[in-house]
Amino acid sequence: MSMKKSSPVGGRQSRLYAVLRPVVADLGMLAGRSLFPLLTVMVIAGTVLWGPWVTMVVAIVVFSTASLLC
Amino acid sequence: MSAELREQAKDAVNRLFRQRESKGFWILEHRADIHCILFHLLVVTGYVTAFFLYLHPDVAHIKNRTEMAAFVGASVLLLGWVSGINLGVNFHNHVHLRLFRVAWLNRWFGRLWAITGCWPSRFWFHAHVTVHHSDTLGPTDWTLAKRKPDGSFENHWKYSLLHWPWRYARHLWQDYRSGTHPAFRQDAPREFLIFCVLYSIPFWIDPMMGLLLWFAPHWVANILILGSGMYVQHVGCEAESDAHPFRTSNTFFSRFFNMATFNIGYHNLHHSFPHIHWSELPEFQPVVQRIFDANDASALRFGYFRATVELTLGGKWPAIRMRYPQYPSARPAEIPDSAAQAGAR
Repeated sequence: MSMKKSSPVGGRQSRLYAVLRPVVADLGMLAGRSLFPLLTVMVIAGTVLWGPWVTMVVAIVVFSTASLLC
Repeated sequence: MSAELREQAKDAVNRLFRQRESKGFWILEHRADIHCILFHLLVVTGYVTAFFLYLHPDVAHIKNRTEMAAFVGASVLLLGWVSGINLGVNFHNHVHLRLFRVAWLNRWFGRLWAITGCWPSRFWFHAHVTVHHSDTLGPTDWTLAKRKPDGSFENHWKYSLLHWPWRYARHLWQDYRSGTHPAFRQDAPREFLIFCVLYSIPFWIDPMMGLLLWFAPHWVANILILGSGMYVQHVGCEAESDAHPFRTSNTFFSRFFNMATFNIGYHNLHHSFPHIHWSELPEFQPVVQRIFDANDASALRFGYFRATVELTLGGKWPAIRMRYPQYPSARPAEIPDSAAQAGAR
């Protein structure tokens, strides 16, 4: 989204946007590329919170969804 | 005509290749390889977490054998899934273009990497680079599915179930004994010994844990993920020839799949030009897309997992390819400027 320079907050927002955008994009790509192992660790470690049965159901859902989506 | 296509593709790729700047970072050859390291470390974290919870069931609210079976089943599925990608895609990147600028670090990181897929790293290098890439679908490429007299490929599940470890072990042994690969013959005993020592660690901690949460995920990784991946990458394709230089592999254009699996879907491009870094394949693809299309190279709009589902549900390859063709190729808005310029020149 482009801001006009005449906008009272436009210049400041644009600079902030310009600084943050690549950082957020890099972090997003880092998480995206590691999405599958990240989910794996979260689901296995999550057993501590929700027990083994939920872990099994979530594992099947995650694996099936990935198989259909890609 | 086809020789022309080959030269056109080489010219376009080399032109874009020369325009690239060095993307090294600290001890990394390419800054994008940080993704590879993070992926592998998360896979290792998954194993460590599963081992810990197996050894401390109270922490995970596991009270009886049935609940332990549910936990192990879920862990085997998830760890097998990511281990297959970690070996067949992620470690595969390292096999082609080393991650680090330090030789011993490449060697040892590779060894510790490949054991999470139950492979000695040197053996995987031999199977993939020396055998598979040098003669893809040719008479000496024993890594792929066998073909029937009519040229069709053997069944997907037959290939997956028989190949690892049985056919791989037999062919690796034959290559070791034959003396046709002296470097492999020299390295193999040492690398196999290192593999045995490293791979046995979970078994020393708890033999049943080693079997259930270490070996079983590797079986899933090699049969379900790697076997399926290798199969769909090349099913319906043919060995490189003067008539058809770009029909050795299928291309898979699913954006989500390629984002999550290091762009492995751009497989025809990877086989044609394996020196292109995995992170740059989407940039190079538009440059050669027109040339691949002219050679009637296969391209689909989903990823390997969906292709495996389609095959499992009874689909036959040429029909699947026809049913799910790629999106309109080389959409102008998606072609980076540099790629478009290189392709146009």
